[in-house]
Amino acid sequence: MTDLTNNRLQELTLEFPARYNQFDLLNSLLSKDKTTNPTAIALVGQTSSGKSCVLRRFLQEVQFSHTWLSCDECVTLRVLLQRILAALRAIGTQDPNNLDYSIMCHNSTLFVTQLNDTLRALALEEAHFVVLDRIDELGEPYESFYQLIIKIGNMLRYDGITFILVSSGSEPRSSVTTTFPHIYFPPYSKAESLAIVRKESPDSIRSMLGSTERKLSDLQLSSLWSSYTQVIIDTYFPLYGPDIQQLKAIVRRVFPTYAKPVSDGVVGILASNRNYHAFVKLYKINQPLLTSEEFVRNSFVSYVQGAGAAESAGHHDMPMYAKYLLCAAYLASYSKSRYDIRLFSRIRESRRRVRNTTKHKFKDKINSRNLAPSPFEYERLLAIFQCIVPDRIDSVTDIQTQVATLSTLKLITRVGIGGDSSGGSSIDILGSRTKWRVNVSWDIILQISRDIRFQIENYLID
Amino acid sequence: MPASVFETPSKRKAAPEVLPDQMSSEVGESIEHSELISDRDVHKTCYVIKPSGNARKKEKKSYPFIRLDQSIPETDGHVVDRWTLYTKSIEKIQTKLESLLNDADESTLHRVWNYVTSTQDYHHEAYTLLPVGLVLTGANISSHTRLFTNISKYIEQKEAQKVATVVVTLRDASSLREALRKIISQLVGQLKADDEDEITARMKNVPQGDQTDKRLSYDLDLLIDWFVKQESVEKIVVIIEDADGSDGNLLPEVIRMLFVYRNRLPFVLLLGIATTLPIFNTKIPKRTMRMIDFESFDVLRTDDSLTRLLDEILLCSSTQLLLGPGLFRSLLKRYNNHTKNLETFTSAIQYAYMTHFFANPLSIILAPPKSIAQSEDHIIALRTIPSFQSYVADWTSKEECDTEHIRELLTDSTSVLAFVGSCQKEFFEFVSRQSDALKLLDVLQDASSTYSSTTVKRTRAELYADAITGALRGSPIVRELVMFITKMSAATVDNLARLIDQKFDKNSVIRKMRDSWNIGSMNGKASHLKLISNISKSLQEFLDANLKSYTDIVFHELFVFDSVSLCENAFAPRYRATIEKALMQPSYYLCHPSEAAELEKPFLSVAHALYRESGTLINIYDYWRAFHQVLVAKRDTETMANESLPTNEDEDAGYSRGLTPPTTFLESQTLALFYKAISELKYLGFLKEMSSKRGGNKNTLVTLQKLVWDGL
Repeated sequence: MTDLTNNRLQELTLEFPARYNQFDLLNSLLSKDKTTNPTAIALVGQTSSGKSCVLRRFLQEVQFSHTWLSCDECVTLRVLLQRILAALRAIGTQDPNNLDYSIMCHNSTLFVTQLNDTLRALALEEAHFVVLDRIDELGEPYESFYQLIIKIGNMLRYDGITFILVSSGSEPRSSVTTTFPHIYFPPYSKAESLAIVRKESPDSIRSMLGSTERKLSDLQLSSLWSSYTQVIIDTYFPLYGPDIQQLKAIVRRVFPTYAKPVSDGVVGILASNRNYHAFVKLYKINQPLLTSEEFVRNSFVSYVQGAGAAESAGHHDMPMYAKYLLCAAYLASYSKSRYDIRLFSRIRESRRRVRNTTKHKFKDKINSRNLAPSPFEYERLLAIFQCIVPDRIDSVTDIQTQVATLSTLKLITRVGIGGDSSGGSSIDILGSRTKWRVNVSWDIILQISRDIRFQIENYLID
Repeated sequence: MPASVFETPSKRKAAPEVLPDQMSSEVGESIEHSELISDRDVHKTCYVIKPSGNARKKEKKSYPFIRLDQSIPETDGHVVDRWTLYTKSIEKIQTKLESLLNDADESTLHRVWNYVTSTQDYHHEAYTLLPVGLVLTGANISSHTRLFTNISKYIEQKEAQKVATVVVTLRDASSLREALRKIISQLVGQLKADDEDEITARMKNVPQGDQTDKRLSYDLDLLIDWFVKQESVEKIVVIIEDADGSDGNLLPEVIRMLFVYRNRLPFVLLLGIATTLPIFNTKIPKRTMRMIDFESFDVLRTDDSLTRLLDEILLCSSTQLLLGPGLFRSLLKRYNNHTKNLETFTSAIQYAYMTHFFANPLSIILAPPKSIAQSEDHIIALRTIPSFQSYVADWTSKEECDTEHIRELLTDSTSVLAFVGSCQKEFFEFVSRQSDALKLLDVLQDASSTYSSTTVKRTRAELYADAITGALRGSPIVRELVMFITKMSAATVDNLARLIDQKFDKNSVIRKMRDSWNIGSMNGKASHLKLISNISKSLQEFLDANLKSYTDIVFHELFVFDSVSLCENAFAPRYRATIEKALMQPSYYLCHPSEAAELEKPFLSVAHALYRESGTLINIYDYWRAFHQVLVAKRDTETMANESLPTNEDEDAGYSRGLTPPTTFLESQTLALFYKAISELKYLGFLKEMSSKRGGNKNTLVTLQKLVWDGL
């Protein structure tokens, strides 16, 4: 027996476009009767395809007893296990929010035992649902836990509990072949995305706009909004695809700027979509807005420059020799040491002995810049550094200090014993034995070498 | 003699105890704290100063400075004078430095605080982003802790009780768990400091009834309980000092966790970025970027601070000691090339002051010369100063000279002191004139830069060294600026006048000069031209008169400190050259130059000499053979010199009988010494062991690889 009528399902679909099937499946799979429920079901689909909100709405609609746990809040599995148990124990108590954290749960085996104990104590009469939202974003590898939940039905001696796994990542391969119910959420199409983004009440649109001098009626607002969303979706859907949350964020961020000419009265009010003249005018004003990346915010840099602080970039500079050291580190990582004499030596003889390397060229087709940097010795770094600095400098302690600084900033990293992360190794980090690796990309290095007017291309064999 | 060979190791072992006595007997002279260093030890390379028995009691009375009787017999009073002079002048400087460094932060602090308060209150909206402030601190890591502690204090002070701040470093946190644990434990303040995962949070201040709370210490739910209890707290500011020093994915992970909790905990994240934004950008995935709403703050540029430092400390009215051009250039070079760190710059200034007052007995002249009046030696020493001598020489070479004046200076001590006083006044005048001239150049550059953007402005710090040596007078930059003045339009004149009003005091010479121009009183083209020529003439005259060299001042050696090598050696020693010199020429450090020939080279340096002669890979057997040969040959020549005509038969006979010690090394002895020497070289980082298989042969060859490259 299903809990929702078909009519109700249709109504819900109005709220969540293109999710009729999913509601229908949930409705037919889950029920209050604890004997008919599966022990686990999975909701799968890409990110922001409406899994969590559909499920939330459904559970709210049917009034099932449930526990909602966001796995991305849990740093380790232990935290999650502890929270599940604590939440289950709180069922039926006077204050369900006052959770009892007196139990520790170290591993899955213990979890099953403790879960059995808890269920026995609870003696559920109706089905209870435990939603594990974003299981793929658990701080630790979640595959084995996923397996456990799927098979937990065999290990539980008391029924009445159903786990709902919500995951946007790919399922663990081992569980693909197991037979437990899946509900797939397909990505939204462009039209569906538009419909979702458009669904905004006039009040919330008004709040987005902020206080304006010109009062806009609800009708005006919604017509402005619908034309606006169409523009945004047309612009950004090819880039962000069905990622509704990202699209929504962009829509919200751009809107105040976009609508400013309207609220300021520069552009006439768009009475209906037929008022093309006003729309075209508005579009023309806002064209730069839609072509720049400023509102997408993929980078700190473009945004900062957009804010007019571009000049600040050059001032927080590293010391000059630190830049040379970084360039030297890049050269040491990306040029083979057998070319060193050819590249850095000023002795003419060494240049004469250049071998014809045309044969090799066909073999090594991958540009070395696309490969990981190779490790180099500390001494080689110093030697290259001495070759590229304009004036001869003695190896004063300041140079070592700068190498240490660069390493603290993770611009160059140490390879080998002691690892990069622990750092507490007993080896002297400036000893001649250590191996290093540059940790900066070509673009940045190019920029740095331009700063110090150093032609780094001359020293690279591509 | 083999006896000595066997003695060597034990001697070395006992070195720490032996050292002081050895040093005192062989190398230097152990002297009492208040004892003098006599003339005969001047050339010694090191001295050991032994505080006498009850040194602690004495310390309270005595001063860190010692008497410099080597050059001038000083009394204790003189030492005290120098010491008080030093402490006084350094105190003045230090208070100024403090305020300078704090002011530099002040504006940043204010902006950051503004940002923190302006961030939206958290609400349960899905679109709320995590507010993140990017604090661009510059690559000078050593000052970060101070800066961020200041930020944290400032915010807490301004928003008493409303904001909770926590400063963490990610450098020493290896995982997300540790980072979160740090944040939580600093805020809640009740967690145990243990690093074990097992340690659970048993918080006394979180009401849990009688249940025990066994949540893990990195569970952010703990923070929610804490936050609910703290009624006044409206924001939690998490400051991460080293955002770009963290490993791999740690920072994005932390940001994600804070983002997840943003609707329940009002986080504001402040990230300290020591690199530049483009570099930092590459470390943050786009996915994380979408979670945050950011603003960036530039900590005040240090170049400006350098100019302020120059104005307020080096060229202010109370300046008693001027940094010489050579020293300043070297400090500026080090600042630009190596450190970009204002603290090191200022500590170098302090060191210069200290050196001057410590090592120059005549430095007491900077104080009102009371005590010096009695000391005839000081007067004599004053007369030996080169600038004074050349002054006298110049004076006497003149045709009609006032010999009376010179005679007085050479014979009468009071007149010399009076002359020193007048020279000092001249010096003060010089300092203030230099300061004015540099400021004027600054203003002129500002005024001209709006019209020609091609020229790069040179800061006062860059011009300082040239200015005080007088090299700036008539230099291209000054000529260019004067040229600019002659081409000024009326608007530019107004602009220049406005800038002068801004930068100079009402009573300053330049303000008076500017008032005398009567700008605005005249109209018409002819009068404008007149005005311009008037201005350029007066400015040219001013610059010519003021950009003088400090060497023109008599006794400038007392007022200007310019010892480059002293400061360079103190702050940036050449470690490699030092080690190599010690190995190649051990006599430099081990004994007096005259005894160098007699010194037996340590075996380490013998091994090092062979090391330098070989290629990258050294076969260990060859190495040992060579080492053995060197030792044997050396011993042979010694025995040749010591014993007259030792015959082979004698030696063999003595050797076989076992009565007389063998005059050559046994192979086993040299082998032991060789092992010791190469293990020491290994310890110094010169060598690495390597075993290589050659030509399919199964026998492995033990070779040593050279690690240190030559000439770096």
